[in-house]
Amino acid sequence: MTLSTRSSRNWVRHVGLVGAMLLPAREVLASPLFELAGGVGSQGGFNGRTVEGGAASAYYNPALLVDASPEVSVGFFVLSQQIGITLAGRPGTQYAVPTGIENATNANGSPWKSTPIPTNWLQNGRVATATIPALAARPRQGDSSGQGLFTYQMLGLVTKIFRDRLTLGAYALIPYNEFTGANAFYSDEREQYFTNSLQPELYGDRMVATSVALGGGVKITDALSVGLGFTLNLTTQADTPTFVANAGELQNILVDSAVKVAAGLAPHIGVSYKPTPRFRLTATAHAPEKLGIDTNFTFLLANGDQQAASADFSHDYMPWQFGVGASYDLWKGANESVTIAGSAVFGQWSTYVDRHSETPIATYGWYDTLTPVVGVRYQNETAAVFLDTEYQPTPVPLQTGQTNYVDNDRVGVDGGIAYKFSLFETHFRIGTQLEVQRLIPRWQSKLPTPTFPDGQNHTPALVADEVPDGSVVNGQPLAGSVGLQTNNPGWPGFGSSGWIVGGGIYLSVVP
Amino acid sequence: MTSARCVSRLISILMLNACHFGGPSGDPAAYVSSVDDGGDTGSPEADNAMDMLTMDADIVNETSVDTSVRDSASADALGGDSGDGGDSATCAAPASVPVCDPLTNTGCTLLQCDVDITMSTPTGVCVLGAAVPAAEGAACTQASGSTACQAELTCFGGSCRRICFCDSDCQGDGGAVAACCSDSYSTTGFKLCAACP
Repeated sequence: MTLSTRSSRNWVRHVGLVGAMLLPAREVLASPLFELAGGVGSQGGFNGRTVEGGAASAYYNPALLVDASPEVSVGFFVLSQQIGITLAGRPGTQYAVPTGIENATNANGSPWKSTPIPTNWLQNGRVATATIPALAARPRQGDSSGQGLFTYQMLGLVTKIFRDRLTLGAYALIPYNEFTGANAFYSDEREQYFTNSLQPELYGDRMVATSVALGGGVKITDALSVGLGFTLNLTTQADTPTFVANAGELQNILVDSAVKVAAGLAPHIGVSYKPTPRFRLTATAHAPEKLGIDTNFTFLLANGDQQAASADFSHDYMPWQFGVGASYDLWKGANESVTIAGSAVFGQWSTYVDRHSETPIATYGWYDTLTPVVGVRYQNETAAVFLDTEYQPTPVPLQTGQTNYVDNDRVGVDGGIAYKFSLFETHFRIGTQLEVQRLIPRWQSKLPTPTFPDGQNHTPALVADEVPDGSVVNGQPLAGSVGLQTNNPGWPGFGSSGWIVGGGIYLSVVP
Repeated sequence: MTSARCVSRLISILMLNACHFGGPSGDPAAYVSSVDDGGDTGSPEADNAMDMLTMDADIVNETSVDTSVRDSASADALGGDSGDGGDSATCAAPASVPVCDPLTNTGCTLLQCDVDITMSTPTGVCVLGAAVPAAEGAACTQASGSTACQAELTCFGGSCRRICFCDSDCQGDGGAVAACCSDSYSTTGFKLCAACP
């Protein structure tokens, strides 16, 4: 096959356009935002894996790009997250970590496995002493990330080459608030040292991850098309060599930094097959993706003693996802159609890795999930409307033990309308959409933790006793050590519920 | 109304079961024996966790009743056996201590050598010394990165204790044996001087 000179110029121009979007993409990454928001700027909605969704098909199912018309789209989208987390009250002071534990040890003199902060200090703070500055209070659930308003710039591009055999697409949702965000927190008693609060596990900072997808669809036959796309996996390595002249004056440390960012591709593929002109079958597979941050610390003391530590973080993790779907034109005229569509997405959430790169313990292992979506569409020559609904089951089992992963089943509705018009001999499409998602209320109470006189933790899946029974301080039994003492912010139980409401407008230039 | 609730609940159950796969494995309340339990604390492979907890309750009771025995054993472990390495004939001090030697306070420049309590073999760590260090037996607070005690001492159990490997490390200035190297310092591999029995 030979290409004409004009076709070659077009090809170069098209590749240049896609490349122009690819270059900044090297500094950003794909995110769970695509999965939460559904297709923006098109008729894809929650059924983007099954229904042609313009540029958004570059992420959901690049095989459907074949049916998209060339376009350049810009849009504004907003999501409001209102997730409430309610903690059960602590039933008594006997469960509090007491003060005066600085020198406490197990009965045999061995140090405790963890060093809790006295509960009273967490709740009320601690006044300054002659040698130690004051400690600010960090009450339970005083610093949650459940509420937020996020705004995004949507960009989309679809272009066709090789006599419409190959269609390229690019799709991005770029947060206005902050270019990208990643906040790590522990999901057990270790969070007492930081926010002392529970955070939504699958929302919050996952909604401010910049999301870019590139894809291409090839028309194999009039009935069969395949597509390949990718989002970006980034791994950031930060080395911070530190010189400590005086361990008692850490404010005077000297620090260098060396940051490296490595990018990898998280591919996704799609297939579309139309056994009849009114019936379509689709299948998709999306590879896992995440933002990895590897942090290495080295401490050099004045005497030449050098020690090292490291911490790895995994943000915005999305597991393998496999989708199948079908759509059928209930009625199809010359310029009108009514289509019903349904899809199901299998998410392998049992492989989840949390923000501290830890996998949930097997006793509370996460579920794999199946998310069903159904919807309907109407389209004529100038207007199009759609309405989708989905049920996203939570992959998180009830958190009755040590961990506090907060998540809920979610039911959502997504609808939109688009209108095509001409201005100055140019065709435009303007559209708007609205989505409402309900996080179904959920409550969990912690199982009681049995404690033992030997001070050992024999039930590691349950809430940890942070003051082992039989502990001693200065050779004397530590008062208040018998039974369970914990600062786990999720103890003795917690609940969550909420809403996610979003909407936006977009404008596309179309042929 | 009741039927509607039943249908709603049925749909909820069907949706939950139809959309979840895999998930938790094992009973969160299952008893897991620790290395300190010895061999008679029951098997973690037991089928019923509640049985295990019941079984363990016997252990709890037994331990509670036998407190005097446990205390006696603890006393032995903490210092009742002066012959455990304290005697020069059986004492086996390591040839060298990594990082720095807290017995002699050597190996650190500007800083003071203390016991690295995070290691399971005798290891030193350089920490910031106090402006007015506490003497042996004085009260102190254990802290990471600094020590309140004089050199060759460490803060343990709320007081400054002399570090040792052998009885000779605990000898006073006059040459007489003032104390025995008999107390274990947790799992650090070091010992502490204590009054001889």
